[in-house]
Amino acid sequence: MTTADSLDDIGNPALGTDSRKVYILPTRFGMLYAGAILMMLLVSVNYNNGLGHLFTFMLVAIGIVAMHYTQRNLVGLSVSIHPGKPVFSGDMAQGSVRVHETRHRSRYALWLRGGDSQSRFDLPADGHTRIELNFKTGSRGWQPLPEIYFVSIFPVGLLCAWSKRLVQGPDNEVSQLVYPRPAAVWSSPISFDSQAHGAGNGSHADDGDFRGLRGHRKEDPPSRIHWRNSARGSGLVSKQFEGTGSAGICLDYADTRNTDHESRLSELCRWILDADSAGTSYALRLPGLSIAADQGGRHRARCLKALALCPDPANITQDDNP
Amino acid sequence: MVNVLADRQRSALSRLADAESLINELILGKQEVVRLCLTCILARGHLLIEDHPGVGKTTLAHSLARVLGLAFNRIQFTSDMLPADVIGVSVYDSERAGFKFHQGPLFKEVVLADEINRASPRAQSALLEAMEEHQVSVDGHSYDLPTPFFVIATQNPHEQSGTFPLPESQLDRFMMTLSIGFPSRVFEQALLKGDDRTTLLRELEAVLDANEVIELQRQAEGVFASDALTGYVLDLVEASRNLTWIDNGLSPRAGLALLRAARAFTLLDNRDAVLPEDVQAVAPAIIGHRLAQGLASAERDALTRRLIESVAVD
Amino acid sequence: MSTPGGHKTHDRVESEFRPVKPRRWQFPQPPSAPLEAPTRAALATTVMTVPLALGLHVMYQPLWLGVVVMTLVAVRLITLARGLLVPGKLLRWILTLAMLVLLLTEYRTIFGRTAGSAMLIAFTALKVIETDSLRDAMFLNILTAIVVLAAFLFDQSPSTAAIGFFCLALVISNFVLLVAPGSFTIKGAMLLTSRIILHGIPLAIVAYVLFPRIEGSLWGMADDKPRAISGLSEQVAPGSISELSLNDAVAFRVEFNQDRPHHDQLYWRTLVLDRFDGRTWSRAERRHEVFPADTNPKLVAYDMTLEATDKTWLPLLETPVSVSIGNPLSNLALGETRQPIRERIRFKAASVTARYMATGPPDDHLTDLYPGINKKIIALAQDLAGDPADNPNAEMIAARALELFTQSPFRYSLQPPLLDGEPVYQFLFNTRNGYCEHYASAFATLMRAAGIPARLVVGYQGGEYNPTGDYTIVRQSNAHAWAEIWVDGRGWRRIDPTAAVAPERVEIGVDALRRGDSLAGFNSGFGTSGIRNMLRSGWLGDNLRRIRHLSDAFVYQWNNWVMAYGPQRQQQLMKRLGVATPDWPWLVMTLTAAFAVFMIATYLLLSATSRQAETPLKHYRRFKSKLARAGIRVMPSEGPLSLSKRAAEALPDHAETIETIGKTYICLRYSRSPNEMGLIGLRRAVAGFKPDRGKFR
Repeated sequence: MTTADSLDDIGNPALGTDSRKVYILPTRFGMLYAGAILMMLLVSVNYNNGLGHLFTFMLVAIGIVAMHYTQRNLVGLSVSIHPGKPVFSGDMAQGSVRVHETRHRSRYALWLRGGDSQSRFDLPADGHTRIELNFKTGSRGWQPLPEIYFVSIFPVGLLCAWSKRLVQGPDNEVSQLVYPRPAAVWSSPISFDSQAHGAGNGSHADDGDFRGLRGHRKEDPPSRIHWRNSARGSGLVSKQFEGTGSAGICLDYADTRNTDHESRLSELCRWILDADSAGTSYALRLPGLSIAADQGGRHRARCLKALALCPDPANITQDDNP
Repeated sequence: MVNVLADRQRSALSRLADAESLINELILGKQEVVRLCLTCILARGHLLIEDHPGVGKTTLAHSLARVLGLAFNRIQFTSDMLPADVIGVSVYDSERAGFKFHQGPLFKEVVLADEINRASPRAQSALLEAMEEHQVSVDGHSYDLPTPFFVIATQNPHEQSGTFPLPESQLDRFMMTLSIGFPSRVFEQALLKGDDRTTLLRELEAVLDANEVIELQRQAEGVFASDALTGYVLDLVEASRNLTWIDNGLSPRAGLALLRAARAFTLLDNRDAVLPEDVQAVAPAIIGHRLAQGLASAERDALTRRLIESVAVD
Repeated sequence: MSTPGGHKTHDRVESEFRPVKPRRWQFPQPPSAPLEAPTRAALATTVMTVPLALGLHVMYQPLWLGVVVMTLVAVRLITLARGLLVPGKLLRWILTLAMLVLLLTEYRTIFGRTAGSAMLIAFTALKVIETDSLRDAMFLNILTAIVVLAAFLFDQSPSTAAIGFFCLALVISNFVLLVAPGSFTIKGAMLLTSRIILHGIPLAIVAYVLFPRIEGSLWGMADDKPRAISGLSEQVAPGSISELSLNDAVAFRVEFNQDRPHHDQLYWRTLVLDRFDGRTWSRAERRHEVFPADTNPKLVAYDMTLEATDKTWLPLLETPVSVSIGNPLSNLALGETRQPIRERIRFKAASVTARYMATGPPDDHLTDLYPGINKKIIALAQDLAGDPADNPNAEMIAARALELFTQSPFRYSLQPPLLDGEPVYQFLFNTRNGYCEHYASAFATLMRAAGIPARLVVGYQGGEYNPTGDYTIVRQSNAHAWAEIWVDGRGWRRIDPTAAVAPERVEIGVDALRRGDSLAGFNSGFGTSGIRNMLRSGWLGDNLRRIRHLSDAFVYQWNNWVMAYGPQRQQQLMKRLGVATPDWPWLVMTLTAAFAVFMIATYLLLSATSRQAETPLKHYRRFKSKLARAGIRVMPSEGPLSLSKRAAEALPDHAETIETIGKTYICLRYSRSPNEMGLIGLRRAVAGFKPDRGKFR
């Protein structure tokens, strides 16, 4: 696992929007206003009242001009949506939306709605702002960011313009990473000591079961390099062992008590969190993937991401799973 | 770009260019690194070089000091080093019946702190404190460090055993982190064929003096940065805070360092207003170690490049 | 997982796990309008707009209603200022009921203009005290607009219109303050409002002009008590015309289609009175056909804007031949409408300047004398008629009578002495001092006594020409009475005894007379003070008159285009604009087309306004898009210096332009002292930058 994966998480600046799809409909007040206009027109016609006609048509004209103004308030915003930091399934995620004003005019009373958040903001000409986007997460994995709406009834509240933004793009740029929900504490039958003990068999790198070879990576210690194979000119090759890491414990998918895939991942998630808070160095082994023992925030994030994206082995054919 | 600078300043600036080319004659093929080093000095920052031994760290630091006419000292850090070995010590002077402060090796204008990660955290923090405060305190007395004061610390990232890596919070004290890297084949050949660097170093002449360096530092501070530009710096900082996998984005201090370094870089390029390009040129050295500690320099570069590319600029 | 490609496999697994996102297009669902609690300032301005609109009704509603309404508004303003709560529901219900009862007691109905307005006002005031939320405030603002419209039903004067439209501006600015709480100051909201209104004015005017107008009303105008309007009455007794001589109110305005007839030809016949009881002339109910009897009459066509009279008759220039409104001309050559004229109307009419009006032989009663006529009058008449054997013709006798008026100590006066007993006798033999109705009445009596059919005509004479608006103003003070006699074999002929006594009255008009320009003798009778005299004449007076003409011209155009703009005027306008048949479908279609044009124009105008915000950035972005079109990859994160360098290398033919653009832009956006003129240079350079894809290597 190289950092190249992690680098993908830098947002999606290219999600520029040329809000061409701005819809507009009258609000309740707009309906009322239209009703009032109709009534005024009838009265003016009945009384042959010239000034009344003029007044009524002025109201009509204002309504129509307001339509342009309302639509104009939304057009020409450049929007980018950024997922938040990964959260556990079922928690609220906090993404963000950045809005840039690109038409050199001030915007007022814009509303952003999406997920569970709704906020109002103004934008100065050519200004930009960042708005939090809170939303509830579902099951683990990549969760698409919620659809967001920009809504505005400015300037006169008679018309409501809105623009729906669908987020499209590669998962890691426009999707929220959701970790599995950690299992409740009591559901973890393995105490930490027993974990360390149970995984102790393979805890020493060179004692562990030899698992295979793989391309050398920078973080592999030189002692792991399989010099004989490497000397054949196929590039450096590192040895891999069942139990990874020079110290600490191995959190193995196979050791989980549950039989259900999701529950197992939840359990593993709990273990990772416990191990992390205990400051233990830990390795993770999932079907088809293992992560060497390490500790710290980045390691934890890497392990949890692996859990989040771990496919159910039952759904994968043998060919896919080397 | 039209540059309207007074004659005297212009000459200092042009002599700075001479100084730069002199260093480049010595350190072959590393113009960018040299430029960033000078930027760091003019921006009153300190520099951390992470690289293998033998790529020319010492030569770089020494030649810098020589051409700029600054006093140079090198402190080789070891694990048994005490803070007093760095900053100095008060000794009882029986003749004057009082304590006399003996300045440590730190009291030089350019200090090369070699292999800083070998030193104990105490010695490290003594150095870092002195860098931060621009003075040292011994027995309740403060002693000012010389001006300009420029620390080039080095550490070997690949040697981990028996070292005390700098804590993340301390890394922020260094304005820039650079790695010199191996010279390309052509330059290495020139290096092999050419004279001994030590001889060359000894032959180097001072082109500027300390006062002129101070003046240039002041001049760098005066380089204009428009609202559009500071806005761009803010955009960069803000974008870094949106990185999902990093706990903290860039601090406001990082933003300040970015702008200060960009100003100095602009001055070195003999222009009078900072452009986004200047920010982009200094950004990798400034952002990298603050955002992604413990990454190899290539990965840091990739990260900063992504960050810069993610921020639109006009 | 044993090769470097291992983690790629992992990526593929990830992508398989991506949830399938629906990408089907759906009909856009509108989100509910976002609402925010209004600021107190927005509520306060909303509440304060209401009394302004209600104030327009002050003249037309009972005083108690005004007091109650203003109290309610004041109460709400105080509670708002103190941050108190709105009154409870129960209290509001009680107030509502009380109002309803009071209004029903006052009007006994809730329909019609006055009662309906009263209901609306009461409802608005009750709404004021409960206005607390955004919804209430928006509703209240819409109500305020309706209240303004209701006020227009009572008065359409320019001042009412000004206040009403100001209210509208306030309403819109209240909308802004309510919708974007905290974003605007009141001044800022007003500025935005004025922009919106300015953008809307063209459409409002086009719709106003083109919206098909209909004749009459949709459901009738229920109440509408007639108002007391001073003007001509159906009966003329001594003093009934002279009492109008100080009345400056405009009776009507006339625009002649051709040259304006001479002042002494301007006889506006309104009523013909043929019954005389010795004191009062009144109408008889006889109808005859009338036609101009001259062989070669000169036609005069004109447009008249008649003020409300609450009567049915129309003052038409002698001798009318056609009128575009009301009934056909009656036998007495008079115009008449079917309903009393309650509003200002505008119509077309045509007359001919004929000497005689012919009709069948006059009824016998036109020589009837009133009972108890003094013998001296009959003697005088017989004296005027001379010997019957001479077979004197009617015109000769009339000439003799007029001669009598000019010679003897007969005087023309604006303030004649009161006449007791038998007015005609008193006038002819005692006072010999009178206004037009005295002369006309006496003259007609003498004619009848001489056996010549005669009758009294009332109407207006003359008029003030307004050079500013090129029309003639006829005021109530122009009211006049004259006589018509039957000339055998010819027809009816107008005789104006006043013209004989005081030719100036007819020559130059009553206004000039009152200014005292020529008839110093009348000044005493008129009782003008020195200052008034000074104002009426001389330089100051001229200028004041000019100003008066100007303001009257404005009022006249206002009346023409606002108050009197009905179906006829619409048709006239369309015809003048060259539309042959401006019927309903045509109007509706044109209106729709105008709407469409307006929509596009507004859109363009608004994008133009945003374009006015010219920044270097805008030109630079255009430059970037041009580069992109020329095939150069433009990265968003690339700074201007490196981009222009790269572009200059890629497009060597345009290197110079590109460098200029880059330099100017950098100078404008990033340098310490950007040269303002640079913006123009940048605009030109970007406009002149036309990279051709074909030349791109």
